[in-house]
Amino acid sequence: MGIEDYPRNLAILAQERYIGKYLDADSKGILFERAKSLKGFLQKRRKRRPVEWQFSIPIKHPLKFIKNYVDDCRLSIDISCEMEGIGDDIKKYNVLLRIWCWDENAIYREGIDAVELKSKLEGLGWKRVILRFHFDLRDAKTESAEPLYHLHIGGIPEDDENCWYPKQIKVPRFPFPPMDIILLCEFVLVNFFQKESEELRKKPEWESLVRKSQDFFQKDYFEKCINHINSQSSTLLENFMRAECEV
Amino acid sequence: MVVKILYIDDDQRELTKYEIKFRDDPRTADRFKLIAKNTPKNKGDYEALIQVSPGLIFVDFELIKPDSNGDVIGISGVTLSAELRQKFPDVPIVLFTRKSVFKMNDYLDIKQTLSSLDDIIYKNEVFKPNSSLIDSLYELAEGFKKLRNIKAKNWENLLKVIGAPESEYDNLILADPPFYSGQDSKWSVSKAAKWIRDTLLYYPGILYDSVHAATLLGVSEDVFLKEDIQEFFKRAKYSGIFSPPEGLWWKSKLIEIANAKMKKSETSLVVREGFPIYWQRTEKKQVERSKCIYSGESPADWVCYILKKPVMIKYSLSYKPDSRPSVMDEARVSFEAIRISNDVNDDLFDPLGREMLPEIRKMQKKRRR
Repeated sequence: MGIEDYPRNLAILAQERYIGKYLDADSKGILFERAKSLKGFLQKRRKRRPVEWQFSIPIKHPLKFIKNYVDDCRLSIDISCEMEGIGDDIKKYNVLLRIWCWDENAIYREGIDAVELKSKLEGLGWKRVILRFHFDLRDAKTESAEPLYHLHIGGIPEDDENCWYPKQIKVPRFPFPPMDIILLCEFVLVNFFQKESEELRKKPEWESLVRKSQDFFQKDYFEKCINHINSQSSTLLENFMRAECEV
Repeated sequence: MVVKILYIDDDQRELTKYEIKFRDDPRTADRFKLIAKNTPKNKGDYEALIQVSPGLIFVDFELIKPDSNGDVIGISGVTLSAELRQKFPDVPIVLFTRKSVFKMNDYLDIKQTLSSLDDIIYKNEVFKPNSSLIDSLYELAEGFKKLRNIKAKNWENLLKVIGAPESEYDNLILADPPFYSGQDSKWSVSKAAKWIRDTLLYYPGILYDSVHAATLLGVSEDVFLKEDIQEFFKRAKYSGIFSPPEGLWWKSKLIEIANAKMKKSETSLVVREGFPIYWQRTEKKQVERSKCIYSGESPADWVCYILKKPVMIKYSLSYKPDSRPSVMDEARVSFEAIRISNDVNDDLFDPLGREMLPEIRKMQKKRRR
């Protein structure tokens, strides 16, 4: 698969019998619209020169999944992203997955959380982001040491941790394979709609769609991992931290 | 109750032939009275047709022969059916023709397209020894009659006449009844009949035929059709109007009946896995499972649209042969049908499926060791 096939795959993904029925009503059109916009970039291809493209789902209008009960908590997921590339080379890649909790008792701890927070949450209709996952490609201009492709997350604090992660701390960053919208949708189905999506995930056409994204976004990454491990040189993480490391 | 059939044809020999056949065949003699008429050419002819007051209308497809006065109608039976629908809005109209002049397979989704026709039947198939067409025609006329006799033509009464279980009320609305706009919706006989026959009873999803029902329960079709299982699921059988001779079963009722008897360890499984264990336990004998037509694996979890045989979802592709409502089961075609059947139309797969066809056609039939 090349980038020129990606708009079609996104449009297929958006269909009701794929991911459409798991999407929030006001999110159903986003993938079609964004796929169309990406196709617009790709149609500007000049002779023999790979075309520059952009694909974004802004955080203000993310791809929102319907709410679902997981472990007795009402959760919803949304995904936003910023991607840029030249031909099949990805130059910018930032994908954000947020988990929202809509369960009053789970998101506000009486006696622990501030009263101000209570009224704030009340005003928002009792919803709160409980986890955010950033799947990023290292910014070419960054001065901080970070793996080429990485994941930045929160964690599960123990009760006595009173966990609060200050905004200014930008570590840790885990080396992680690139995840595009299609691969993340599979991730969301497997984790948050496990039973409901069982039938879809068995379908060969769904597997084919996911495999196309694996090929395009992850294959080189994993090949590089294997090659580096086989080379017996520096550690994998150190290798991915090197500024000159590329996939 | 005798059903009066009005049979319109341009061929006097055919009119006489079927008048005699319907009169003399023991399967039709007590149930039908066929009144043969040449094609109507003028207002008087139409008035004569109305006087017949039929319960069922047959129209021939090719109406090109002149009558005894040398008059020719010059239109096809399909066109005439539209005119007849105006005159007889509440009576079923059947295209009664020959395969040589009207090939149903040449038209995709033909029943949905020809809105003024309720069915298409080939003349030479009606009186075949094991044909169930006579029963179907009687059921068609009786169904229309029951709908005509309902005084308040509202949603509630339509649910009653199809004998819908409460558990299916929401799904029935999702099955796109074209006249539904709320509980107070009013329906016409022909529209309600068309929806019931061509959507509700036609597509698997809310009602299942024997192969779909057997696959849902994880057993072979032969096992499902055995007397003991038929007795067990008696309450799930569709007994509403237009009931086909082969039988249909309410999906939700099948699940409900099975779950009501099964142990917790069996209900915790999907029905196709839990029910055969239950049946084996109570009947103390091995039960033949529903086997995938491609791999031989059990239990299969879908039915191949082309071969009408159980298949695993993972060995099938999505197919778009019609515009069925989304509440109905998706049409899927087994890898086996893709490999061997000439009835598979590649254009009806989605783009991802189409890409996979060459690879599937190269595959050997998979067999479980």
